[in-house]
Amino acid sequence: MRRPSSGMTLIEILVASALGVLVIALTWTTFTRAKATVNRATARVNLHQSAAVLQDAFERDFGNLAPALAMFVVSAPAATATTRSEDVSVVFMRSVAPLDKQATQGVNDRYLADHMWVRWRYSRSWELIDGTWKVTASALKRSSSSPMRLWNTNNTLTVSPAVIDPKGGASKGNYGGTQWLNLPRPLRDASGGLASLDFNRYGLPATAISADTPVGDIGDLADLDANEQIASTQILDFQFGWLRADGGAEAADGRNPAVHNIDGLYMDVVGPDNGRYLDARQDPVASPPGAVLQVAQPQYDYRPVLGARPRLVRIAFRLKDQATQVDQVFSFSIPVPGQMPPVDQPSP
Amino acid sequence: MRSAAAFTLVEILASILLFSMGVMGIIAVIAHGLSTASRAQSEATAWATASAVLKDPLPMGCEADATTGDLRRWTWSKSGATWTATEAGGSGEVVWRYTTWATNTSADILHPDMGDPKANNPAVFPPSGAPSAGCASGWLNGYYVERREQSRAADRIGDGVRLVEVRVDVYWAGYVGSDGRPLASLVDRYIRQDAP
Repeated sequence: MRRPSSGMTLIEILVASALGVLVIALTWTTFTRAKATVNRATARVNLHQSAAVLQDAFERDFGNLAPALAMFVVSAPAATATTRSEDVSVVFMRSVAPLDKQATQGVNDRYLADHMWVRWRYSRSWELIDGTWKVTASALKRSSSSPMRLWNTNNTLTVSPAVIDPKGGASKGNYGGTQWLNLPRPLRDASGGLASLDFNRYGLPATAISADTPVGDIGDLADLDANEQIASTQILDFQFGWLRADGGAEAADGRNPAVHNIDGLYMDVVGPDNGRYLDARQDPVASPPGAVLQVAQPQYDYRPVLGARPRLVRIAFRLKDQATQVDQVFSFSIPVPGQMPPVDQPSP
Repeated sequence: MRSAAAFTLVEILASILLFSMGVMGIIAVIAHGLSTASRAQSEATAWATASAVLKDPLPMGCEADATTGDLRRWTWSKSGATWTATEAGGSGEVVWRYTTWATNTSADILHPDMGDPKANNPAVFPPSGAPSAGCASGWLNGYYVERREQSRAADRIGDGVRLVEVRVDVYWAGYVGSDGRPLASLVDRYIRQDAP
C-alpha cells in the first residue's frame, strides 16, 4: 500500500531549495546580463539612428550648397583659468524650393527667398572642477534664415549705406510708416567675414532680440542666432573638413583657431567695382581665355577662387549614450554642387 | 478521496525547469527581435557609409582618444600609389588602405569579383598589403568597408578623363572573414578627370 503523500522530507526541502536558489541565481544572472546587452544594443541602435538623421540633414544642406556664394568656416576656441570652450561654425547659403510656403504671409508669399543661409555649429564647454577638466555642455546646432523678415515701423529710419550696396552707396531716403520686408541676402565676397552677414539690416540701430519680435530689422547673422535649434546633445566631439577643388584638404575642429572666408565662384570685375555685380564674367587673360562677356572691362581671374571652393565636405563626430557609456565615431563625406573643373584624385 | 497535500521533489524540480525554460525563451525572443531591429536600424548608416565612400575613397576617419575622448583624425601616409591610415592613438593599427591609379593609363583597370564580391578577397585585398589599383578597404562607422573602382581602356574619354565604375560594399564587422553578405552595396558610374 502506497504511503499517503504528506509533503517533502527535510532532505527533499533542502535539495529543492538549493536547486531553486541555484536556478534562480543563474536565471537572474542571465537576465541581468541579457538586460545589459539589450541596453547596450539599444543604445547603439539609437546612436546609429541619430547619426543617420544627422547625415540626412548634412546631405540635404551641403548637397544644395550654392557654389557661387560665400562660405565661412570659423573655429574659435577660448579659455580662462577655470573654463574652456570650443566652437566651430560652418556658414553657407543653400538653395531651397522657392514654392515652399514656410512663412505664408498673404500677398508677400511671392517674396519668399530661394536661397537661405545655413549654419551648423558645434560648441563644447569645459570647466575645471576639483582639479579636473569636465565637459559641462556639448551640442550640435543648426539654424537657417527666416524665409523673410517683416515688420512695421512708425519711425523715420535711416538706411545703412551697406544695405543699398555692400561697397557703399547713397541712402535711399525715408521709409517711415511703412511695412518693411527683408530677405536673406546672398554674398559672393567673403572678405568681410562672418560679421558681414549683418550688413543686410534695415532700421539702425537694430534692437530686435529675435525674428519674432523685431523692432527694426535684424541682420542675417542675428537672424541665424534667433533661429538656432539644437540638432544633437548626444554629440561629444565634431570635426569639419573639406576637399578643395584644387585638391588640397582643410579641416576645423574647434580646438585650433582658424578663419576660412571662402569667396563664391565667378567673382567679377576687379578694382573698385569688385563684388558689386552678380553676373558671371570670365577671365580674358586666362589660357585658354574664358568668354569675354563685357568688352573693354577688366575681368577677374576666378581660378584661385575656384581652387579654394569645396567640392567635397567631410564631417566626423562622436556620439555617446550617457546611460550605457556606449559610443561610436561616425564619418561621412558629402559632395557639393559645382565642382568644376574636376581635379586630381583627392588627398586625405 | 485523494489525500495529497503538497508537491513532491520531482514536481518542484519540473516547475523550476519549466520556469527557467520560459525565462530563457523570453530572453531569446527579445535578443532575436533586438538583432533584427539593430540590423534594420543600422542599414541606414550602412547605406550612408557606402554613399560616402563611393565618392570619397579617403574618408576623414577619426578615433576617440582613450584618455580625453577627443576625436583624433587618422594618420595618413603614402607609399608608392597606396595611402595608408593608422589610428593616431599609438596602436599603429591600420584602419584604411587605398591604392590610387593613373587616369591616363591605356590599360584596363578591372577587378575579377566586381559583380559578386566576397569580403576580404585576397586577390584584391591581400592581407597586410596594398589593395589592387582603384580599391580601398578599412573600418568606418563601425563597419568593414570595401571599395572597388574599375575602368576599361575603352572608357577613356580623353587625356586624364575617363568613365569609371565604383562599387562599395559595407559589412557587419562580425562577418569579415566569413561568407557574409554585405549589409549595403552601392554601384555607380561617374567621370574621373585629372587636374589640368
